[in-house]
Amino acid sequence: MTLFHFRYRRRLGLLASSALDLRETEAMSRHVAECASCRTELARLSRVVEAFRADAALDRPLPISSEALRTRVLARIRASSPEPAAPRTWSLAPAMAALGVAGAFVLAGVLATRAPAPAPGPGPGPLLASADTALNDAAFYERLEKTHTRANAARYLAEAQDVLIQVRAAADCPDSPRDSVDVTVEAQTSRSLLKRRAALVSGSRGTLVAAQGVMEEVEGVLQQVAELPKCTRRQDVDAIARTVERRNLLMKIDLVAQELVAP
Amino acid sequence: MDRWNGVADTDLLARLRGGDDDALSPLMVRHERRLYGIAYGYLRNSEDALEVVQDAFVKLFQQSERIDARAEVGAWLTRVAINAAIDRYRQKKRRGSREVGVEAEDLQHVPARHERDALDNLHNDESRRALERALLSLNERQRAVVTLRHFSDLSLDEIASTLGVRLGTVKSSLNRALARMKTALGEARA
Repeated sequence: MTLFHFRYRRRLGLLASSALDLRETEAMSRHVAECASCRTELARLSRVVEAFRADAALDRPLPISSEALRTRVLARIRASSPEPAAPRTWSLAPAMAALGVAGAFVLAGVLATRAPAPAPGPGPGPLLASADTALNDAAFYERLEKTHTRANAARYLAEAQDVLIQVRAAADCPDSPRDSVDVTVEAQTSRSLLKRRAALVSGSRGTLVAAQGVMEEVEGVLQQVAELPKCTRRQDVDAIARTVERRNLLMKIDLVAQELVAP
Repeated sequence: MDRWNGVADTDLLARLRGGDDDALSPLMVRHERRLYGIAYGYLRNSEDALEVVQDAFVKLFQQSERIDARAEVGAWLTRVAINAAIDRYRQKKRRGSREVGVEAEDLQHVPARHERDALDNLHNDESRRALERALLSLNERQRAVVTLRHFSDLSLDEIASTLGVRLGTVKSSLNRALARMKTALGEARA
């Protein structure tokens, strides 16, 4: 047993993984050739590595075609773009048309609920029918407006959840000290979401009472993200991630969002 | 897609940054399978792995303007994918989902002899499940390190850069991961 036995022993996993440079590999191989217990241990670890490599070598194609993947990615990009950028070349017409139709419905709902009562008609029959129709329409549009508000709130929470997940996966900040990450996009998205939240709550007229607690928690964390500088120390991002984890915020968002869009 | 033959990833990224969205497709074709392999290796679930791949490409599109123009697109995508996989795994684990590989308690009931057979022949479902159960014995970082090393064949330096940790941390994580998996697969009792 050489002087370096315990040092080599601790690094057998790296040798089994072919993760050492040539000099280290040669030095350790010389030791292993002379050390029976290290040989046995290396053989065991090598079998684990072989198991991994055999599994990695299995052909695992994507469960969908490249074309289908592209369609899904483009759909997600379109869905998450709050304002379509002018120079982008993809056609956003279908999405905009859908938004236009939805907007028209909601606007109609608002107008219907706030419209003055119709002028009296010439006879009692038409007047009663008209009032009844207006009442039904008002109730219908009120329901529609509430549904729209709840869907918007669910979408807001889903996007906030994306930010909370993505901020943790932020890329390294180029040309900055080690262990700092670039959170420009996440901070910007958080600011935009906070503005949306304010508009959402002020126009909700009590529709979002059940979601209020989670929305306040999300707001608090988004404010922290919104205030992060472009290049942020990774430990600060990790602290936010820990807060999210400690409060089970991602799970709460899922539950509330599901509740909001439930029929 | 032929018109993109011979165009380097960095040039495609430059086009994407310049607003040419068509440049996303060839980047997806080039990297989708590799990213899926990494995500599947980590999550052991095809639906989750597919979600991670989608997330990575959406992020590539949305953040193309802030990626360093000289950056390796493949390395950037790998970092995003493995971090997304870690987050997804953590979320599902927290929710106690059975979709996260195989439940930990099942690991205790796998006989040692069977585990030895599993290592000898990974071409049957039982053997793959044994490997998945052994992966459950690892923490998130160890799981990421062994995935990047043995599913993506990254060097230790590349793994350190991808995960944003020190080289020493990668080395110790890889060593500990293999030792744990060896124990979990029953090799210690062989």
